[in-house]
Amino acid sequence: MFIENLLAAGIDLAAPLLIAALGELYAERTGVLNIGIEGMMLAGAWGGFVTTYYSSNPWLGLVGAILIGALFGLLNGMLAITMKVNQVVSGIAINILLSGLTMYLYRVIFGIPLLPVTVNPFPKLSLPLLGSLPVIGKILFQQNVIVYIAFLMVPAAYFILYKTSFGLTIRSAGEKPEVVDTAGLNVTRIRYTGMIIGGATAGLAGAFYSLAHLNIFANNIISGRGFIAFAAVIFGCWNPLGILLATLIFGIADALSTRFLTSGIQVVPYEFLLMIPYIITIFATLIFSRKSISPAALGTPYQKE
Amino acid sequence: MITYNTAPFVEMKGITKYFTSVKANDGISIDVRHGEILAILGENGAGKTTLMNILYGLYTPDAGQILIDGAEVAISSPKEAIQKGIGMVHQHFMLIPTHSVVENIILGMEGNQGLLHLKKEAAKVAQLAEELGFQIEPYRKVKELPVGVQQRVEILKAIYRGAHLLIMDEPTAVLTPQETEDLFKLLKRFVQSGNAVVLITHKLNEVMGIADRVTVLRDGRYIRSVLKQETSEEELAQMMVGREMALHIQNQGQSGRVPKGKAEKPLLRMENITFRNETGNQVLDGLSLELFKGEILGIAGVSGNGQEELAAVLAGLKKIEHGRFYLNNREITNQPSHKMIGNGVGYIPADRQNEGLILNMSVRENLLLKSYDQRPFFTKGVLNKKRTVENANQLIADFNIKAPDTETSAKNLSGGHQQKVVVARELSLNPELIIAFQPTRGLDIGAINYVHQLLLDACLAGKSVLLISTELSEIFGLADRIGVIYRGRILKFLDTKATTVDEVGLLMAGIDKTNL
Amino acid sequence: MITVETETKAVLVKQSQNNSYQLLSVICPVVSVLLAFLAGGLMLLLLKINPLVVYQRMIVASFGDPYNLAEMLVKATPLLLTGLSFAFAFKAGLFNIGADGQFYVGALAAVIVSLKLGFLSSWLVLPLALIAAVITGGLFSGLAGYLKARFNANEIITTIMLNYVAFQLTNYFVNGPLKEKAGAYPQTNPISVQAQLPVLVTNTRLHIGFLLALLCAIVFYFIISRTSIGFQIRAVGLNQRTAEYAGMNTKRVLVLAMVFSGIFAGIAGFTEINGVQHILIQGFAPNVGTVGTVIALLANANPLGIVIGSIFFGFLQVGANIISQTSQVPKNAIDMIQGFVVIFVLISYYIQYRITAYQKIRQLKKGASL
Repeated sequence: MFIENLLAAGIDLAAPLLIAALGELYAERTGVLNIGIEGMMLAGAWGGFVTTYYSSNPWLGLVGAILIGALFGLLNGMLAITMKVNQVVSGIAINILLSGLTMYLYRVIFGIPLLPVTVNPFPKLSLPLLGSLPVIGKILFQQNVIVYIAFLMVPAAYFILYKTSFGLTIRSAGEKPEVVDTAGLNVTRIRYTGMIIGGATAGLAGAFYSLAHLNIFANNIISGRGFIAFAAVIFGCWNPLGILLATLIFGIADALSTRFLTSGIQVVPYEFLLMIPYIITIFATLIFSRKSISPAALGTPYQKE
Repeated sequence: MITYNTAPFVEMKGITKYFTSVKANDGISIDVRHGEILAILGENGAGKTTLMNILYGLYTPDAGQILIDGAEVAISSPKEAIQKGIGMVHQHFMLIPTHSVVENIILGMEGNQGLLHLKKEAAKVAQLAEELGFQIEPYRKVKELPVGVQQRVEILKAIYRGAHLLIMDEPTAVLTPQETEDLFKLLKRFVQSGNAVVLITHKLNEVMGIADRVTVLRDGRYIRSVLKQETSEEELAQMMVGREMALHIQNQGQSGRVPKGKAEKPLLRMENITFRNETGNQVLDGLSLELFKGEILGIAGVSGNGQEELAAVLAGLKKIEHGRFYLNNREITNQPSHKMIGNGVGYIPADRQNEGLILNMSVRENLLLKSYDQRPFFTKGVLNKKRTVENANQLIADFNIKAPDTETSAKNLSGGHQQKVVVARELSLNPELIIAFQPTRGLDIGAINYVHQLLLDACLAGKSVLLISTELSEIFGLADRIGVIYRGRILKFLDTKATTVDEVGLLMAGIDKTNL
Repeated sequence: MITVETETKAVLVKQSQNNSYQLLSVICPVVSVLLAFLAGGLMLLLLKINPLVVYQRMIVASFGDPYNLAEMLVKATPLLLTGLSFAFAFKAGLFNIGADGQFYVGALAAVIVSLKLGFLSSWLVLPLALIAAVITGGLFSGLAGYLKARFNANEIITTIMLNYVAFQLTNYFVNGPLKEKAGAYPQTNPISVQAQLPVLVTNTRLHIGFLLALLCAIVFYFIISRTSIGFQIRAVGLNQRTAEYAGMNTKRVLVLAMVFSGIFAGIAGFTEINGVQHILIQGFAPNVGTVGTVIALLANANPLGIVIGSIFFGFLQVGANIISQTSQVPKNAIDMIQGFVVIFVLISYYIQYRITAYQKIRQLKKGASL
């Protein structure tokens, strides 16, 4: 029972990380780093929340989140690709901008409410037939809609990257952009696409927090999880299946630490348990930072002299 | 088959191109005929590659027109160039090492949207190769293929997309003499049906070997076009350089090498060196050599046979697994780079921009690089700026480095003067042994001669040089002895005067006639 | 020839290096700041607030009142130090995003020493607290540096992760062993008078820590441009490969750069605890590291620029306090304007680059037609 609940919760927590990380995968495979993933998730949480509030439809909320994420992906693209701003700098700048902007606009729309504003969150959706399977039914198929979306994105990413011409182009742009250029393709356009996809999926992932996990919006709703998703890409060796594994590990660790807290078992002080996902990430980067695995041209701006 | 009184196949008229710091092309007009192999000849920096990059749509000209079969065309991207039947094989291959041959060839092909049909494409690729006279394995990863085969993949890529004009940029830099012959056969076959080839090169012997006609460029301007049979290497050299100049400095035995008896101990001795690189290849495989004081030992070979690793090991940048090496009979195996510098080993790297210089630092600081914690420039860790300025001024004067002042950024110097900074720095440290790895790559003739003279002068002063180069003319011009490196070993040592280019060329391909 | 940037690491944005365009390089940031305030003003209109009134009040109150002037420098102090922290690592080509965390552990160390040894005279306890902050900040950051040197672990990730570790660590102390006697709030006991940094100007909060920060800026400049280690750091940051060929121990340089970087951030923690707060409250001074990082970026890691920038951002924060106390404007309006400033200044650097590149080509063409 405990294991079932743990795994179910772990998957629930892993889902938004997975979505954001897969989006970041596209971006990084084209050769651009999106450190702004944290801010874009926040923007998605905000956008999803506000859209759902006004439309009373969480699905429209998801659409809103995706659009906002894509918008800021575009902005990051303009800074990092066209203006050749250092990609880490542009990402940090966007995180700062969005941190202030989202809270300010929340204030503009909702004022200072006595109690936090809420929306109706996504309910859990038990899949017919599959949901009633013993053991794995509870773990895998009685989850939130966003979890199912995350699941589907994995094979989709695998297929797109390795079995389509679009995917070949993406992978090539991140390995050696000059080759793509001389083959007659537009490296800039490809990288913008990667950035926008990264932003849109970050937005979608962020919406999970304000529309499913919780049903409010606050400044600390993302709290570093964007960076964990970023780390998951490295941990997963820039590969959809690896990323799935990495995010599952993070999610389960996160669920584990919450269980320790609520059970009252004080093996280790609560705060130290909260450190676990971050420490795991550090170990992950240790093991997986060898140069031979990452896209060769990652983080390097491309320009013709 | 080539006609000169009808309209040309491709024509470029009045092409001018500016970059932020230079006028690369200045009103150049050239033409190429059907069935012709045209060589575009010029020194480094003459504007040849820029001109062809314009033809291939990588740059847009600031003035001028391009005509194909008499009709004016606008080529604003490689895509359009490919559509119009122009293909280009670059000096640094435009291939993705981690992808397969077929994935590289079909990248960006029109009509290949949506799903990848790898099997179908692979079959087409294999067939095309056969028609051109060679075999290819479509699913092999490019990084596993030898360089000569990679080049054929590049050519396949261009022809697969319907190229009728093939531009080749310095294609033989990485080939053995025999592979060069094979390439020329392939090109001759290609032009038989009315196609054309433009060969960008600075090698006069190649021009005389394969081209039908030669167009000479100099300093961004068009000089002249001549038919091959109506000219000679000397005339072409004069056109390239614009004045009478010796093609290369010759070692007339001026080096400090004084022949001694058999009892003489070598300055540098390497015994059975082995080194395995990160992909598991045995790059150095039992390499042994001896270098004597005052001599220039030339290591000839096609790039990729272990030269890089040999140089890196001697510079203290890589550690070997087995074997030892000695300097003046003192073992120096696997000592780190700063110790090697302290041992008196100077190093002129192949890539001056990424290994020899820090482009964003000033000339003064670049000259200071290896003395980063040495007196008199640094005392107790603190900088003595005046001394560094004096040092820089001295070296700038001694080596004739064209820089307005000591604080000029290294990136603002021309290639030749950048290399002078590197050489000046190395020599200023008074090394006993100088490792010179491709010391004149990418330099114009004037700079090449200057560097060669410096190396010879160093030997006169009692220093020794290990010259690692893929340019046979350089090796033959400078070295007292030649060692041919092949698959990580020195195949044979020869006295320069007692051998020929042909013999060395065969050894470079692993063929030792004396053992057959 | 088509190139891929090889020496991008220590060059943040495509900036003009040419001296004759120096006027442009001053105008651009100033215009950007004005535009940021304009954009912020438009946002204020959404709340039906008159931005001009707000800005006027900000400026008058900040510069008119000596207490507020002093506050600007008080707020600038930790920003200056965290800015130096990021800049120092950046010179070596490293992205130390961990200033927030290193600031916290430095503060933690300082407060522990101040609480336990607060009975000693100021001449003892203050230097001891400072040393504690220096050591913890340096070690914390040095850890990330070691992981980078030894395992090539991406320092962006490790420093960000260590931030969260640092937050949780301070939370633990503040909720547990160091919790105040009264036990009501997640904060420590206040530190003793001896452990408080002396005030420079009476009736203000401006303390010696500000001078310490200025001193650090001078030390930064000295190390980077006048010492052997500084030379090595710059070399490694510009072109690590060439630095290796020159015989430098690049791994050692990277670790040292991170250690120094962490030391600056740790000192920021000391100045904040012993100079201003005199107590460690959970979640205090959030984003000091991030804002300092941004200042360093905008100043392109130049220490003088960081000094000026930190005073400017100090002004923004003082202004934020003033207007939120005296009007309806929410505090996060200033956070938002801060964000606008960053983005616009970045854009302005690019515009600068384009203008100078265009001018150069025009000059070439003019020269040719003569």
